[in-house]
Amino acid sequence: MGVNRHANPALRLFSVLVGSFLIAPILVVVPLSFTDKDSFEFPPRGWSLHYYERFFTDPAWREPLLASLKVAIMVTLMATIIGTLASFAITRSRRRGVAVLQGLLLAPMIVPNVIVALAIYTAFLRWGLVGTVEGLVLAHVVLALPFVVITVSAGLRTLDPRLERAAASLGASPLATFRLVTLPLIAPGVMSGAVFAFVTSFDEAVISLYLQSPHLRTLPVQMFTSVTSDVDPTIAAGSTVILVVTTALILLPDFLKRRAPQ
Amino acid sequence: MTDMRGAAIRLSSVTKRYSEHQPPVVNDVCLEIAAGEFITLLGPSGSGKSTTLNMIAGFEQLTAGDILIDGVSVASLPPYKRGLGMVFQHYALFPHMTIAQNVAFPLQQRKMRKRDIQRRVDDVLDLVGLAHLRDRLPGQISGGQAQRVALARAVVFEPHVLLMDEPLGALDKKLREQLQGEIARMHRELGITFIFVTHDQEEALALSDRIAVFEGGRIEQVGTAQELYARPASLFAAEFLGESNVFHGMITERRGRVSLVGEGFEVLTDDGRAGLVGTAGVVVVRPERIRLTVGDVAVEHDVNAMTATVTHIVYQGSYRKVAFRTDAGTTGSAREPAGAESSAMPGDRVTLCWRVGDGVIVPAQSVPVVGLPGDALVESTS
Repeated sequence: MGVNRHANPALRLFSVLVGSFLIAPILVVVPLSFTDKDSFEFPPRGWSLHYYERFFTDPAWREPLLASLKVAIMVTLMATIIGTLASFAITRSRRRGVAVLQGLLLAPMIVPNVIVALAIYTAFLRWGLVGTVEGLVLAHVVLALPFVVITVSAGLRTLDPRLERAAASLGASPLATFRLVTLPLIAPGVMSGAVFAFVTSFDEAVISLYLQSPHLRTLPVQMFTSVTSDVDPTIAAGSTVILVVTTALILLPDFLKRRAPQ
Repeated sequence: MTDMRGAAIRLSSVTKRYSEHQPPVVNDVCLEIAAGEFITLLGPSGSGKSTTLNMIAGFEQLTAGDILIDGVSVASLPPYKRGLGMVFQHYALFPHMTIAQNVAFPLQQRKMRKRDIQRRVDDVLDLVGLAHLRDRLPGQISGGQAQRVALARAVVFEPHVLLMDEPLGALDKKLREQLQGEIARMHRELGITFIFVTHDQEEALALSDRIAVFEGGRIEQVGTAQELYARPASLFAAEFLGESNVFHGMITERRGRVSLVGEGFEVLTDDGRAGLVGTAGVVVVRPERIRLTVGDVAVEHDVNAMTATVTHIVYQGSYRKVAFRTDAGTTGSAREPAGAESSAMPGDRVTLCWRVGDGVIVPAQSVPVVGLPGDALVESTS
């Protein structure tokens, strides 16, 4: 993934321009979050960490942050396990229905979120899952699964099938083969899938809006409410925290891969 | 590495069919492999040799038939319970484990004690001369070294049988010959049964006690390298193993001996396959059996003679290959060892001579009639 130092200078300039165009607007929230005023003044004239303190201590912000973390961790675990197993079925099975199964699993990526949200809301109303952590986790798992399935399937497709045969010929049961050979080799794909699952759940707003209750409100929902109802720079502090955490998470698999020998 | 011994393997009417609508990939294969034998399954790609090996290993299920190891059926056993060593064409080393960890893998699966594992791994890495690479990863060693590690890993748990699927196919010629020598040495030292799959006839001739020639999912012929070369049972076997001059005609019996009558020529043989008399057939003559003389010669008794024109000559160092076209239209070649060449040059008229006993009659149809059990040219252990 190293940058080619000898790339055409014009191409490099173009890339920097496109990158800035995409990223610069996001970065505006960073200086905003350090303001000492009670408004969204850009650029800020005075600096303070006041809004960070508020973000981590005010229950109105802390509770949604903890709820989002709790939901995202459960979603990550469930989506990663289910998605990895589903990827095996999709890449290994020779049955006819597999293509349909894959299409269904990937559908939440294509179907507009509002429609998925409305459908889930209607069904969950009937099942009494609206406003519950369980309901929110299930809904987010559906959204997160495609990311796990795509990354893990890609890993499985590039895995040399002879390695599993070799393990079997050396006396490893299917379970031992999976644990000692297959899983370590597809681990980068599983890791990426898990990170995507976490991020998908952590910043999901639409379904969370439908499924919220006074006792269960995720961070994106709180941010949406805050920005529509009052002028509170705490949201900039929250955004900056999310920005840093998600960027770190996305870079994590790449970092681990580079540290691993060869 | 003491106390190892080979197991006897018996393939009994082994058949593999992927779909009802397609012909079987492996069709009614019967083969007896003796304990400690080095047998090669030789054939072109798609001939069923690899599928047969995969059925022995347990990676493919049998559609019909049975496989017995030391008299016990293994057809329903999963691969990891068969206890056979296997070497793959592209090494199949685990890329995330060091060389030593790769070799230790089968021992760990057998729940051996750590100290014993360490000792065995050291022993077997010494056997293949790679002890100094024990802490490298597979991506950091050469192809030849990788295949030696794969060999070490496949025999470290002292299997009674070692299966090899084109193990030298990915290596260049010089390395291939070097590893052939090592495989032969391992076979002598370990004393276990080796089943080797290849499409390379030279490899098969160099290594095997016996060779089974595969074609179209069937075994065309089984025998030692010498038997197969001197007495091919079919045109396919003759042409796949070594070079051949092929004369087509009708097999007739005349003057008390079997001969082949073609358009404008007759070839005498002392082949006793009277069963083929009256059918279309082929006489196969190996190039080194043909003696070439410029001009006409007096024909001796029991010698076939045919006039031909030299078309071109290829020098091969230790011998030269003289390609010719007979007056009756058959093209072929003779092989003349260095130091014993004739003076024949391209365009020369020559006389080809070979002793009557050097021609082998085979049926013109190389594939036997499909579907009738028992008509395959299958032989069991002699």
